[in-house]
Amino acid sequence: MNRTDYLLLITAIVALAFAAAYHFKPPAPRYYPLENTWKMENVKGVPSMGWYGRTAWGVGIGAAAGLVAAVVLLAVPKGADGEPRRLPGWLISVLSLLAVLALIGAAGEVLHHEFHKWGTCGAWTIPSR
Amino acid sequence: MDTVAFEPAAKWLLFVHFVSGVIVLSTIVHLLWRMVDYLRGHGGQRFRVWLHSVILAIGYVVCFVSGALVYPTFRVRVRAEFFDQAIPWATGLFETKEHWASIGLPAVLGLLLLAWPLTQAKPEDRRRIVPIYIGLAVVVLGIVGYNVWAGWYLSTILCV
Repeated sequence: MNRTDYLLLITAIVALAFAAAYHFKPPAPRYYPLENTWKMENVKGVPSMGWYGRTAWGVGIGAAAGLVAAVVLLAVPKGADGEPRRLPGWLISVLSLLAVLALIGAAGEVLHHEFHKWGTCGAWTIPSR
Repeated sequence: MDTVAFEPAAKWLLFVHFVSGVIVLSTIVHLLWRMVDYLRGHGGQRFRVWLHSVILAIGYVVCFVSGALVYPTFRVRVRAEFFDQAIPWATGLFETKEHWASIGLPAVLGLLLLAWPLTQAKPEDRRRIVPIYIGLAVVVLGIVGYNVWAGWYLSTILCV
């Protein structure tokens, strides 16, 4: 496959896989900083951090998808003219748009969830000391 | 008082996080500026686009890792002991910042991967990746811009 298309495909696949993993949030252990332990359950009233697990899933699934794509695409045979295959222009455009929109969508989903959960859409009052 | 992981080094880690954040923000701005120059026909900017992609990737990883290491201290000493109880809206700002930092990872990787064909490939191949390259760069700019602002703002809430 043409090297430029190869790298673009891998980039798009990694972005889409990462965004999907971030959206579906597979179960992951939470870190409890005061106890310095990891637990699967979310214990209320005790500080815990789910960000590490969610990020690990995103990075893991994105990396796995990218690696599989990298290996599979290497096996694409050359075209009848002996030149590396090139993707159609419209497919390049669609993949590019999907990859960027997937990341924007993941970011928008996070912003909507967190701002509504914590009242960030409301007044930003700071108590006097 | 229980010590949280990496708490003794928290101030140094936060300083590294701050400096690398400033470097990342300036680099992404420069990268986009070089892309604009390149699109306007100044082919010599291709090398600078590649250079800024490399600096961006290194800076982003340093910023990300230092932030990940200082996070336990923040989670206990700042968020649990102050934000969640007194100003929960600030927790929303921070939670968005941390997740957006993660979402920026594949975008930064993409900019690094695609910087090579942008500088080395034939003109007809380079044109094919310009849209996704600019799209990813804009995503990174939005993420980094928000994160730098939110980090600065949350750090100054109790200053004066």
